[in-house]
Amino acid sequence: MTIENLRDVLREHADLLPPPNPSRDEQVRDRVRRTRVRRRIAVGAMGAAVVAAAVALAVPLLPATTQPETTTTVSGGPMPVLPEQFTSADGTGYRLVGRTAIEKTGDAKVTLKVPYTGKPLDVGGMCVGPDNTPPRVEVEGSRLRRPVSFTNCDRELRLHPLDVPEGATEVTVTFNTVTSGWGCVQEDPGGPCVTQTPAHGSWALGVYEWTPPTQPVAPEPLRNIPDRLGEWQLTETRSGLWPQDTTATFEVGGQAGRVALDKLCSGELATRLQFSFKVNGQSGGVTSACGVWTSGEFPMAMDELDLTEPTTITVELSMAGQSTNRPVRWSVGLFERS
Amino acid sequence: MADRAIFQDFVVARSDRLLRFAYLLTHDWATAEDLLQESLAKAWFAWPGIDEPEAYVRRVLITTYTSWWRRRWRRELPSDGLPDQPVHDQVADERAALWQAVGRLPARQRAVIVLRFYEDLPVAEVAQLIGCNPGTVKSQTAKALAKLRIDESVVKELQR
Repeated sequence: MTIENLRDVLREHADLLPPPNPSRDEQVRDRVRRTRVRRRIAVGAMGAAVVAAAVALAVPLLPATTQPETTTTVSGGPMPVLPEQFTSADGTGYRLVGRTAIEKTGDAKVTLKVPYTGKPLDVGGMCVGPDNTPPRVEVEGSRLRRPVSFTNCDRELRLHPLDVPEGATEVTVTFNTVTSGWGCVQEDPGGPCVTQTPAHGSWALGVYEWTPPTQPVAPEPLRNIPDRLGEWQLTETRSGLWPQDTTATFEVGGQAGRVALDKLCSGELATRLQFSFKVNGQSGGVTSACGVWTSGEFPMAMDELDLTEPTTITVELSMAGQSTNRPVRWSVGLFERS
Repeated sequence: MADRAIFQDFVVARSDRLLRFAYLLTHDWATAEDLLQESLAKAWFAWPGIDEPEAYVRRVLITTYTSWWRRRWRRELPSDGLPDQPVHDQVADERAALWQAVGRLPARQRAVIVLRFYEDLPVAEVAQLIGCNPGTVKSQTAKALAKLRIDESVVKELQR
């Protein structure tokens, strides 16, 4: 191919007839208006920072089975388009095997059937808001106690592992934004609690099949867990590489009182590695995800334990979904009050 | 300085050209429309201080596009360039494959390719638009052309 071929191809596509949009001017004005409103809100929020401390948030909207962690409101625009295929940073090839959408004004729940060939599956989603009811991913026949849920409404492609029922040759996935219960927000102490209205954005949703890298891909080296986090002093760390290393043990003296554990991971699937704790062989009843520290402050998310006697803390790791040839480097730090 | 009174006229008169430019970057008309409107809305706020509206909007369009791309694809990389096996000697197939390969370039390389070979801008001007130095434009161009498997014998003459 030559440069001239390239020029021709670019011209050829630039000369295509664009879809007409007689409302563009009006739509741009709408965007300008929305931006102005957002800026006013931002300025107002800064001025009200002191008052904000007194703002009480009552019961949030409760989805039918589980509660979304966070939601983000973003400006409108056309429905985003899921890529047909892409390769992630560790060389894993993703291919879209089924797509659907939840339109802002359409059904709040959609179902998609996709074939299952044995390769791992992820659900993917992109969103334009406003949205306060991100979809839960309900899989027919799933063994999971709680369905996975999307969280942020934005244009970044978010992927979550899809739990495939045993023996399935086809998977039926329902993306569900239906909520139950109610919620209200109290702006001022003693003021009225205003009931919130569920609003779902426009979600482009789909299922991706992925092909693992042919060889394990080494995750990036981990940064050190900070020696001190507020009143907490780091006393010991344990590190390893999933899936080879799946447990870590700390022996703590009886004088420690309250201790805390924090985790750090690297690798493409770092956020899918889950940590649970056993105290002297008894389940701590807590499972938490791993932090990924690429920039900014340390992503602190401690699990605290009260100890009154010499204790063995066993950390057990598990992975949400498959991770063939996609290892995760991990580190767990034990903190004691200084 | 641009007068806000002419903003609407600018949108009507220049949108078509800018939309085509956005389409070459995004390869999707809906996303191109979204990108154009977002860039025009941003330009509206800066309008009274802008000397060359079209150049300004184009610059906003490029920076907005690369920031979207960075957010959307932060954890993903595009696939390789053209497939290894030869495309069956149909000119149309080759062109389609080339267009697809352009679509797989990272955002900045794609912007460089469009500015240099569709808009026919010299290296210095591309550097100014993208906000980098001319050396970066040259290296990004060379990398992109290598991915597109453009005949390298003609690449040297492009380093103007």
